[in-house]
Amino acid sequence: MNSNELFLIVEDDKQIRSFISFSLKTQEYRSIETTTGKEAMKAIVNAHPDVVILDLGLPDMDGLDIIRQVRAFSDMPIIVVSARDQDREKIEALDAGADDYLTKPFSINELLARLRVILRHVKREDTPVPEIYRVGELEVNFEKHLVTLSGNEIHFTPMEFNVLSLLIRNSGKVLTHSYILKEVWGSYLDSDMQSLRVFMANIRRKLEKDPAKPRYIITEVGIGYRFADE
Amino acid sequence: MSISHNSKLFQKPPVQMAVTLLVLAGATLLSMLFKNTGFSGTNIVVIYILSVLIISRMTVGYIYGIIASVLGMFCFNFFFTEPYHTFNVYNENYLVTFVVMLIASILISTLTSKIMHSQYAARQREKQSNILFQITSSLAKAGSISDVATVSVRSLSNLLDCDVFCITTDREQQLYEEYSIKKGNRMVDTRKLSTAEVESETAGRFVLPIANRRYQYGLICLPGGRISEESEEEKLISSISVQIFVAMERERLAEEREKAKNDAEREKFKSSLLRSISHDLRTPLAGITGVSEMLLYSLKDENNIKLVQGIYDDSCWLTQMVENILSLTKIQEGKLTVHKQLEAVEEIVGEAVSHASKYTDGRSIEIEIPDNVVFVPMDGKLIEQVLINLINNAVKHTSPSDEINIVVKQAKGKVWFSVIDNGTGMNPRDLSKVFDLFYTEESPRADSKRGIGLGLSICKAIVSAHRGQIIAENNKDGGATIRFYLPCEGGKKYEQQ
Repeated sequence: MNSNELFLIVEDDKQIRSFISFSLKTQEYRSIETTTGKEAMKAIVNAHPDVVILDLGLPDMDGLDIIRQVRAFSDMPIIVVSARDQDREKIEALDAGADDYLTKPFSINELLARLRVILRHVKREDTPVPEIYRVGELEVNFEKHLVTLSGNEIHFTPMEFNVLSLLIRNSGKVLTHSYILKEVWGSYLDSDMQSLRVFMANIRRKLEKDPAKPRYIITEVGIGYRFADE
Repeated sequence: MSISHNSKLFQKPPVQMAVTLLVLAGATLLSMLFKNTGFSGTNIVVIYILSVLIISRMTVGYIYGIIASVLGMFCFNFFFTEPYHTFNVYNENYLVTFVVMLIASILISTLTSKIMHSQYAARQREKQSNILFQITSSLAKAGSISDVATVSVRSLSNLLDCDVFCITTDREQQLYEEYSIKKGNRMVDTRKLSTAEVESETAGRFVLPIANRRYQYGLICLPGGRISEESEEEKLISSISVQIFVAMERERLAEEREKAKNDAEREKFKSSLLRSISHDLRTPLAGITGVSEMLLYSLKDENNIKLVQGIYDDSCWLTQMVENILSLTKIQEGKLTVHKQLEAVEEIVGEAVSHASKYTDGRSIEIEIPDNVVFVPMDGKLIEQVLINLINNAVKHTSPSDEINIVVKQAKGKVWFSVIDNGTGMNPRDLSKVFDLFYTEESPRADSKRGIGLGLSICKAIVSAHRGQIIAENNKDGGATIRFYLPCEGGKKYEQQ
């Protein structure tokens, strides 16, 4: 059923490579395996994979360079795999255009959940953004700038609405702080980070019953935010 | 005139008296010779004054000089003034001569004695400083406390020409060691002593402590009655004992420094061993976890799945453990850098709870946070780790039907985070120790849930790195609370921007 999706696995560790390819096989996805950056670039150009799963620590190339090179000609989804203590690299990869990240060690379920989100986006890009977006109790009307929760209208300032709609349009994906700032404020200064946090706190108070147990807006500590649409 | 001071024979009063009388007699005979050859009386006066000078040089103290002055005057009167051989005087001019002669003699004798005395003192001081110098330089070469003791008894025995022994003690004053040397011998004997023996050895002897107000390193013992109190010798010996003390103190400090260095090195070796082992375990563990998870998906037989589930759970636990050890060694080596940033408390708590809730087996987690947004400067990742560890710890002490509460409160420039459970609570004896490295409570339940107490040590290290504090306590109505605070100050303030 899913056999038309082709994944490229770029990973030098044999164990993790076979783990990922096994996970893909359980869902009957097709996959190509490469161990170096050069092979990966070749495979990307020749085989046109639908999704790239990329380890940041490759022996011959910096994973970041691969992301930048790919982004120069294609917006194919890229999921980054990184070690636990590579937070900085993770953020750089996301800012360079990676769509999501996984931290080693991860489970099959985690990997598959991320893949589902990515694939949904790939499909959704072909259809225009719906005028009205519904998830759980939440309903957002992009045309009329209207937000309702369980049928009750909630007042959003234009800025707050922009942040919310940015998150929803990228639902499931992690958006870094600097990405949101660039998209909504148009500029990015370190000091703006704090205003973003205040905005997020306000939005959370409007949407969530319990701000400490968020249903819609998930914090990725030290990285950014993610809108949970499942 | 070193003879008069160095030889003890000359210092005895009868001898000195005899010297005085002999010299005076000689002066009288010489004067008679002069008188018979027709020299004038003034020469005789000069001869007597000279004799007083000689006597003062040859005797110790003022007394013989003064006696000689008076006797000399009477001799002059008796033998050389008219009427001869009486103490009467016809010519009144002689009275003046007598007085002048007496005053001159006394002055000369006292001056001479004074010079003699100060010369003696100077020589004595020179000798002392020579001895001190010799002892100090040999002490400087000594390489340990027992070396110092050996050198000291040898030098003292040399100096005083008698048996000497030194008893050294350790810092707890329990082990005693004796270094003894016999008069005229070069060999130093060493033996261990008991407390009772120390008392019997020192009884009836001249004992000099090697000590200052705080430490006592030992005793120097000399034969009793050999040294009189307050004498020059006693002063010299006590200044030697100060030198010995300084040398022993130096050796002790050097030993302590060496020990501290060794301890630090051993500690460093231990943690680097722990780190490299943990680091090497990471990769194979990831393999085991991965393969067992794959097996879980592909196996069909219920029993096999159960077995593999066990492998998977254990390898997950081990992975977590290895990560904990790695972050702890990182913290211990000061490599952990805290990137403080203002973070919204609700975001951190929310994330921690959603991560931890994977392993709570149905325990409900209630969160209570202030309604307003609270920003605290912190390293969000690390504080999230602290909260996850605390929740895991609460899970360990509760059963699935229990409840875990997380409360955040702001007060007086601090933000308190409390993780409260209504489980079994902690042994009151353990409360102060739960944050110690590798501490596990000694309860019968201890082996039912594994853990070597790393999680809470990491919490403490992280909270301390934020200048906060972490406390464990039991609740009045059952269960335990672990709470910590972070100071609100110290990060970039939102208002300032």
